[in-house]
Amino acid sequence: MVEQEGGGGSGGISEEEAAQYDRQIRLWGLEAQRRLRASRVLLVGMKGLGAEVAKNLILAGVKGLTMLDHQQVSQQDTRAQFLIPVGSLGRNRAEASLERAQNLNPMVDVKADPENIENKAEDFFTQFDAVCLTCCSRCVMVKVDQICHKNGIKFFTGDIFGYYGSMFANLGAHEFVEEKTKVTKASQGVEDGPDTKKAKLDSTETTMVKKRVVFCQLKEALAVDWSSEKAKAALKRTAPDYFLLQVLLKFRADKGRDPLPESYAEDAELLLRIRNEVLDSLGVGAGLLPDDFVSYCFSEMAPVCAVLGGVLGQEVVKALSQRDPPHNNFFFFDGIKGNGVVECLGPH
Amino acid sequence: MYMDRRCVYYRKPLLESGTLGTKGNVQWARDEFEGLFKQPAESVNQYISDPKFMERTLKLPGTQPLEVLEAVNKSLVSERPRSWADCVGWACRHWHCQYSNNIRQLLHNFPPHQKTNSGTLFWSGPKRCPHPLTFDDSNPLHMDYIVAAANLFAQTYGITGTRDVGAVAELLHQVQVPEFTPKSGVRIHISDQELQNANASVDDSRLEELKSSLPNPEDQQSFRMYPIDFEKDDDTNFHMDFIVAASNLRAENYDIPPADRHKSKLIAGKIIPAIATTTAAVVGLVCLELYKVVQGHKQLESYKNGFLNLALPFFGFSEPIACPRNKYYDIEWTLWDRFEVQGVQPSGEEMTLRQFLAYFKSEHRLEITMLSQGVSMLYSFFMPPAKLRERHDQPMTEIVTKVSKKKIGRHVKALVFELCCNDDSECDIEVPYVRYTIR
Repeated sequence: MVEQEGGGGSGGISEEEAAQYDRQIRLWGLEAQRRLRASRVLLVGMKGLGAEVAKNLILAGVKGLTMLDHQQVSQQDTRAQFLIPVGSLGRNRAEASLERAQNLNPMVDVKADPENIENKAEDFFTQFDAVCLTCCSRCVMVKVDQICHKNGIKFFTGDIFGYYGSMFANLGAHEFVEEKTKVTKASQGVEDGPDTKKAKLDSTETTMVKKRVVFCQLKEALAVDWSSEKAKAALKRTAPDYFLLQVLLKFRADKGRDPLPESYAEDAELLLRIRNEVLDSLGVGAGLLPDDFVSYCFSEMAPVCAVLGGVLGQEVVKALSQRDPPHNNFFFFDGIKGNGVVECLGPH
Repeated sequence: MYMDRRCVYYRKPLLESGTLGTKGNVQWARDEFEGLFKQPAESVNQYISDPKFMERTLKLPGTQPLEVLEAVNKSLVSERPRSWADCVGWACRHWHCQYSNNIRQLLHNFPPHQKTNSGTLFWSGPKRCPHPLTFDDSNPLHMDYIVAAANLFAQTYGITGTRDVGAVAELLHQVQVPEFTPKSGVRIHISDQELQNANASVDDSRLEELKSSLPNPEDQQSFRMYPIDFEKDDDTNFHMDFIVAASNLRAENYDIPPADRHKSKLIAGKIIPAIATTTAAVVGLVCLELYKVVQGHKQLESYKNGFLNLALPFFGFSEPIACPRNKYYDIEWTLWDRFEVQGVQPSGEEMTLRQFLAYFKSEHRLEITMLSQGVSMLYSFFMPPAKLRERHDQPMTEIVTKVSKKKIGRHVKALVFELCCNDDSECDIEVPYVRYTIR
């Protein structure tokens, strides 16, 4: 649900804006740009992925972006977080990112919030049209998803683990438009008559088709029961990345942090143990996730942040502008294999 | 474009009905722009300033001499405006010509329910049946066109126009638009040849008429026109205004939905839209491939070409294909291989052509039949003996400079030569190129 903000420029685009957003308006149209221009987004977790998503949404021209992060800049962050200038160690991550983020586009209301998302009340979220979580624990993700679901707010979460990236979306009952080209058939045998100019067969008549998709909640998506016959058959076609995500989220919950290169040996061992536990509890074979995943899931790889940040950013844009089919509901990227997969997982 | 020009010249209706959708109409409008506000002005200026212009024009093939002179005559004499009011009049008449008269003539020849010889409807499939428009000065689209076209036309003559729509509307009241009646008995020729034959005689007499009636260039020396270069990004110059109005009027003729200014601009400018998200994702993918190179991966399978469409969504990854492998004698080679030849010795001495040919004979058992550098042919087995004698003992770089008529830049460290050669059994074989080091 896109809420129209009151005040000047509501629903309209100024000349300055039309000039600035020219290249993207040519792609998704003026109407989509107007909706973006009226949207407020909450972005939680300003590590590498957060920086990419922030950049993408600020450049796209949303009305406001609030970057929320209670953590401080660490040595790790210097690898993939380009919004934080050198020499910011110890500063709050959101506040350290503010200046460069705002410079990307003065027309966007960019804010930094140093609080912990766990301490935010429900009414904090209702001021936003979309919420995007990164670096959050599974409980927090589920809790915020429920709040968003209740209030008609578009919900996203994404994370990067080394070469692996994943994102999830819950857009509730989402309505959008899709551009479909009309195909006209060239008729045969109408060549009698004078020299006719060759019919230009690239007929670019298009129509906008309205569609509606219903998303499931995160809790359900993560708690799929794989024991049924139907599920077992689907398992063959399901990307193992889904299970990898579960393993990594469990690690995060148990250790209160993500795998660190400094503690590679012990973290690697723990990851394998968690893998066995998690796959077992989900009722699937341990062979689904071979051991080698361990060496590829440490730290945040900058290019993987860029790829997933691009995809996630675009999903937020699509949801806010209500244009083009959204991913329903997971997207996984494997930087080692160079695979990108959309999966639809939920209670079915 | 060719057909278009032919039909205009022979005054035959052209069936333009093939164009569907926004794209075609915008391109048509773009072509109109060139044909009305650029080409005629350029031709006139050339006619006046270049004494060889007439001579050159008369030597052009086919009907071009007549077309060009007709255009010059129109711009200089028959349609030449003396005032802003004249420009408005021109715009109004041109509007009627393009969006009413031509369409009415077309429909006269091919009425809506016309059947072809095979019994099917003529106006079917990609041939949409158009309808003529009626000029209405309270219609913003019609007025947009008049204002834009009149101003642009005026500009080509150095006449000042105005944006004041009200004033233009006033001027329109004084404009006389000639009555148009579709002509009957307009013969539609079935082939180009027929068209040519029928009008050959008409050409010549008209050409003579024009030659004598065009004003003498010497008398026009103080006059010049101003050709307009299409510039899509300046919203005050009337260029996009014209394109949008012209294409949308035409769309109206064919009952096609009009395009908004943004869409028209996109098509007119052939601009590729860009967004941050796709750019970021693609750059990320490229970086990952770069990492593989740096890590020293040697297997082709480790690398991927990636394609993505964020809207659909679509992600495709394919493995790069190996480059084709060739062979001569027992030597395998690909496009990455080449012969390395040290052309210049440390002493400064350079290989001559004779030495170069001999080198390949003895070192590689290859008999060079042709040798080129870029577009310059340095040696061929069939070159005149005198020429060969001349070149045989010249250093390679000297030959290159002589044939290409260009000096080799000081920064150039090596030249690339392409060879044609025979093997021992006199068969022509393909070999890698030569990298000939000179510095």
